[in-house]
Amino acid sequence: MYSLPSARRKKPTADKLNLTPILDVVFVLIFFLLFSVQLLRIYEIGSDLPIYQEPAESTPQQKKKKFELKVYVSNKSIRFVNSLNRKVLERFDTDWGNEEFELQIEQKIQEIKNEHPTERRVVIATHKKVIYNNLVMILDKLRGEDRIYEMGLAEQEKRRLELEGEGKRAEEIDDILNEEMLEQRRIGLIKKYKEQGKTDEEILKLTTEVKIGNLFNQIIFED
Amino acid sequence: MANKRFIRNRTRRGNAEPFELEMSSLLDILVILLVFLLKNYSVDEFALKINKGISIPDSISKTLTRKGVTIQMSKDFEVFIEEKLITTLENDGAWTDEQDVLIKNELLALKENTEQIEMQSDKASGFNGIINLIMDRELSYEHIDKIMDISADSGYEQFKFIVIES
Repeated sequence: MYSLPSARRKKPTADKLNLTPILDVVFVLIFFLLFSVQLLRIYEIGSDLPIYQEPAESTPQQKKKKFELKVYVSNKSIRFVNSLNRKVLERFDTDWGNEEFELQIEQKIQEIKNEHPTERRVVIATHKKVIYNNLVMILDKLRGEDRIYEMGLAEQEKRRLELEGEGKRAEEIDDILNEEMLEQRRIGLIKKYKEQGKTDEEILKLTTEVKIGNLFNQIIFED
Repeated sequence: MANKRFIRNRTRRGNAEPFELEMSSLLDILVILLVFLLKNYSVDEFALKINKGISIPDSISKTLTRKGVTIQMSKDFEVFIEEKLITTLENDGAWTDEQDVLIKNELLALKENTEQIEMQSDKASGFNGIINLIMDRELSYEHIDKIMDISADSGYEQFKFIVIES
């Protein structure tokens, strides 16, 4: 017997989730985020002090100083000089773009920093024809990469005054400060490696020869 | 016979279901895109805009940028201050006194503007002396030095060389 289509039993259909409002929200969010996204990470290299000029009067602290790093950069050579006694520490023939040359520069800077860990200031005298990209490479080597906590300048000064109050000589104070800086550096590294989950043996191995990071980050360009 | 078939098919045509777009896969893609964009989202209101044609050097520096006046110089010796073209050096980058004055005046005007706003409102951030130097990587140091000299003369003594993550 023929029956109307409406009388036949219909298979029950599951309710479908209406995705349209969700899609609307997602589209709006995406448009908003697209306008505010920063795909390129941009940073800065600071030179907070003004262009270098000879100080009219030296402070007692500056008079006691025996070392100030000055770097002469040209397209022929790079020279590391102690500007206080004009002694040339090292000279390299420039070979821009050569990894070995960059490594030599890095090693020399690290060596100088290990000898003078409390020193952060560097004066850069650049020849006018040096390309900016190459100069930034030198700044990178001077500033270093790791930024583990070291004794801040204010803390250094405070400690220096304390040691002077105890009657220590300037050379002794520098040695004590160097050791304390290395110890602080070691403590910082141990904490970092523990957070990374390294074993005690690995940590001991890595911190046995501790180098000072956070190198010369007070950059002054010579006028 | 044909008449009966016609009646049967007519009912099926009348009850045809509307075409439904399958959106779940589209939603999957959009969610992944959303996650990616959320990850790169920056809440910092200060965003540097680098002009087209300027390729800044890359660096290992991880110091974040701070708000300040922006001065840009392309490899074609076009000088922009706050994205406004101020001057273009001629003859392979030779500087003239007029160009010095143009740049200096613009910087001084910006400084004065900031100081005036600071006087009118307690909440305004004052003049901080920061100048963000966005220089093309191929420029020689003499141009960088010149820009720094002019900036220092105009009262901007905190130089920030803008670099890109290497």
